[in-house]
Amino acid sequence: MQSIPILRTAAGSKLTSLIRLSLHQATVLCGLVLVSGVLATECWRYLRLDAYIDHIEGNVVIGGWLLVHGVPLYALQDGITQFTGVYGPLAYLAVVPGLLLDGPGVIASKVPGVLALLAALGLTAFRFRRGPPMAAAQGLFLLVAGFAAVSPTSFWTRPDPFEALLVAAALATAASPICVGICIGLAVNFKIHAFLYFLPILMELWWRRGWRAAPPLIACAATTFLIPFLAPGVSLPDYLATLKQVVGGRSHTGALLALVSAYSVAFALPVLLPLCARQIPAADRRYGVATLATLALLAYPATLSGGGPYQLLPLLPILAEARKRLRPDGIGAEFAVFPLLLFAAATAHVALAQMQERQTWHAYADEALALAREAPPGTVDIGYGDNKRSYDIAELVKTELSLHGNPRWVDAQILMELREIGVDGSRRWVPYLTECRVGRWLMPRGEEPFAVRSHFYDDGLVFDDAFRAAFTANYHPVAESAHFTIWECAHDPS
Amino acid sequence: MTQAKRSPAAAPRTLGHFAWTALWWGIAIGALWQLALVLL
Repeated sequence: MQSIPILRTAAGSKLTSLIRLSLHQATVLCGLVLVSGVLATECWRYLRLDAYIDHIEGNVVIGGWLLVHGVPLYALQDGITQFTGVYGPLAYLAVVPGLLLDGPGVIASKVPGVLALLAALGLTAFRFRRGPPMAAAQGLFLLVAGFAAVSPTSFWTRPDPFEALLVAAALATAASPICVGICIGLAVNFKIHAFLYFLPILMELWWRRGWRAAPPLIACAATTFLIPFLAPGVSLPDYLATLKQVVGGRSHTGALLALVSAYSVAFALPVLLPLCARQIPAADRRYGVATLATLALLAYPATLSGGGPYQLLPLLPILAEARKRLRPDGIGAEFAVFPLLLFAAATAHVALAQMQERQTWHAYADEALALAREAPPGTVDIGYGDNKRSYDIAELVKTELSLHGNPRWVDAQILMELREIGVDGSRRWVPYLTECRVGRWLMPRGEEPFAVRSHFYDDGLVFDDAFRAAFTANYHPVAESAHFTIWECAHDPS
Repeated sequence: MTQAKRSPAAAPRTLGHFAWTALWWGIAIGALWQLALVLL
């Protein structure tokens, strides 16, 4: 194969041989540098943006912030979840340090997720420092390209970057059943099915140490899973009830099948091709096969409604480990990560455009906060209009209001989740309107009130007719600001 | 050189080999180009 002598010095053949790259290797390093630059740009732009790019991020932040201020996390209302989705308590608590250190705000809440991504990358790079440099570079290439391919989910304010970090930490401590158990317990606390990501590590542990590794591992996993439920305001029975309702009622959706399949193939190729290409030690072959089997297994949660390719993200550190062990050789195996870069380019393009569009959105939150300060604390909430853009803005404004003394009364995001399992969640909130418990509603100006649709699922109306009728019967518009119409109670609340 | 002593690198190149190589170079260059466009 043609080689590029980058440096020839008399200092010694060792240094020269270290940096003497084949054309394939130079192309791979070029890809690694380029995709690292794209991921870094996305992270930086995300951190500087005073808005979220996903509608659930704000709800995670509100849940964590209100929990540390004494509001129960998994409160049930008429037997169904009030606001909280399927995540475990650590998903909400993980964002709190940013808020406590830098004060309540959107940017502060994003810092932990981005740090988790950087820590996962740093930990893996540190662990890969031993062994052949090019094999390490190939492993890192897959990790960075994979993170970029599913951006912004690899650094958003939801559990996924934290789970990737825990898988990377388990790999770093894979020889210790106790440490692996701790990582699994924490990850399962974030998301109940997260133990799936650890299957290749567990397989190897079992192969090396047999069933002796099981008792300490299971004990540590169970203990660390349960510890966050000891916090005040976190109820294990209510969490399990919510989980049973919201996950148990979900079905698979064909809409996600094509996308998840395409990502699965792109994630599998960098391990599959080296696995086929050359003679490799049996232990490494076993690890590669276990990794691919786990990837196939993850298609199940990824194709449930509300899922997506981001469900594959925490497996990336293990895919990278498998690729490093298999030492790709030959053009197909060496270049197998490049298809992921096509995904990375497409998602980065969309994510950066979204961030650009949302740069001015925080002005809505500033305006809403000013309007809220004119009313007694806790009596103001933002309502919803009739399109997706105003829905996303409302979720951002709701977060800022909740972080600054006006906790949410209603929320359309949880209604979408409930609607997906056949539950009308808005009916229970009708008394808030008939009794005028919310003193002031900030409604998107010029839009039909509460006509938002379930944009991520069936496109049906999120608030039912009874709720919308109660709103127009009990409230009337009293003033307008730049972006909002202010609605107040039309009768004496008493 | 006898057949037994021939190294894998010296194996005869087939049309399939060239197609396989061209495919991967195409993907790699295309992907690098697309990523560069994002950064630019």
